[in-house]
Amino acid sequence: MRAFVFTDKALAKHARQFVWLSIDTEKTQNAAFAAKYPIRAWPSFYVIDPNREAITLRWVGGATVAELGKLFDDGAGTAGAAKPGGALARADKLYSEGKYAESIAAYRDALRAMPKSAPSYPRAVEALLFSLSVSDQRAECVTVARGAMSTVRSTAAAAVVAGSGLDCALALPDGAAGKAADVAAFEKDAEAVLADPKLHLAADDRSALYGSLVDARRDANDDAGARRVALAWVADLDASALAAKTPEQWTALDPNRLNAFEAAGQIEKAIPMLEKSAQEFPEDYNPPARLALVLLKLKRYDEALAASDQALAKVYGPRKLRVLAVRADIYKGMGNEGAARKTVEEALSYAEALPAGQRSESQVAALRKQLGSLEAASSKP
Amino acid sequence: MRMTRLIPLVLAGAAAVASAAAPAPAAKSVLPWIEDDYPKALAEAKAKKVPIFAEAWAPW
Repeated sequence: MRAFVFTDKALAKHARQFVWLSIDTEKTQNAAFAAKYPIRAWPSFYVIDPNREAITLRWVGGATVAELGKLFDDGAGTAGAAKPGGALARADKLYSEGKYAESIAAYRDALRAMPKSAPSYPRAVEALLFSLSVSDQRAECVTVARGAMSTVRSTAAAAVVAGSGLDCALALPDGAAGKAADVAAFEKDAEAVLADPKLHLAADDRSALYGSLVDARRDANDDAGARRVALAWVADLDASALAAKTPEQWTALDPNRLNAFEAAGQIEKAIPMLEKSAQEFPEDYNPPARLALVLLKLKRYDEALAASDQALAKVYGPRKLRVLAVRADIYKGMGNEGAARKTVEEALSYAEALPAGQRSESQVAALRKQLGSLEAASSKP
Repeated sequence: MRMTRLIPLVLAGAAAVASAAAPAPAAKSVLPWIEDDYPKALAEAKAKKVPIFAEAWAPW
């Protein structure tokens, strides 16, 4: 988003509609914001009414320039509204408050009340699919995605609907009625979305679809099919990297390319990519953090530890826990159980000291459990 | 909204939109963002009588 979308001049006309606030949720100074406006997924976008200090519209995940323009116009209308108006406003309010399970019925009402050609229809479908997904209502998610696909097929929302439908179908229990047919249908939809040049999907969206398609082939125990999709994914991202206009755009593709390389069994190709990003952005902790993970997977432990050192020197906020987790695994790979245990102890202390808004109780509990297992293992004769 | 690949973060009790986050340390936005200062944004929004548009992101 920051590298590709917010740089688009078409958005400049919206500058006066809002005061624009960018929050890096990893920074301690933003912990109070995160505590006040809990974040369920990254990135998240909020329209906030400054007088009530309340979210009036929430958008989760990336967006195209066109979708953002629509969101800005919708959002400018919601703020300051004393009472929510129609069914969609009621649903948006619940969704904005993070009441995803409660928003499901409201979005259903809203969708029933609006024509399928309404400009807000794709946004409401996407929000409903998100709420169903995070509420673990997979079968309902499949039904909604199936029903909406024909309506959104030629819009940017097609990627989300096909991808959500496929992910939800794959998450159904094995042997669930209709699972195989649903997976097959969404795979076909996802492939059609990827092949449609008119949709102008962002690399993130394309990658999400490729990832779901790889999962689908693996779920079918079709290793050759999974590899075929993964190689197409790598080629797609290689083309995006070639087309990048700025170093920011090139580096922004790193996480997707890393996933694609790994899926294709070519994870070593991530090494020169990450080394280039590290050179381009020496203050960014991500390239060395990712490099440490790649080298760990390749069992090149000494080099992995060196990359981890570099990442640790730069990382801040909750992300440091991820860097420490990889570091503990590097030590385990080296056979140094003592250093692994010390690293987990350090992670636990760090997690416990994070301020409200960044501290996660489930994270702390997981680290305590991990430490307990390591201590039990070390005390065995 | 792109939420098709909600993945659990290792050691994080939260979800991320997979690969949607990008580092982009110096991307040049066409919008006048206030960086990491909610009180300042709040005061400006009240003064200008416009809402805040907030982006919560992480440099992953």
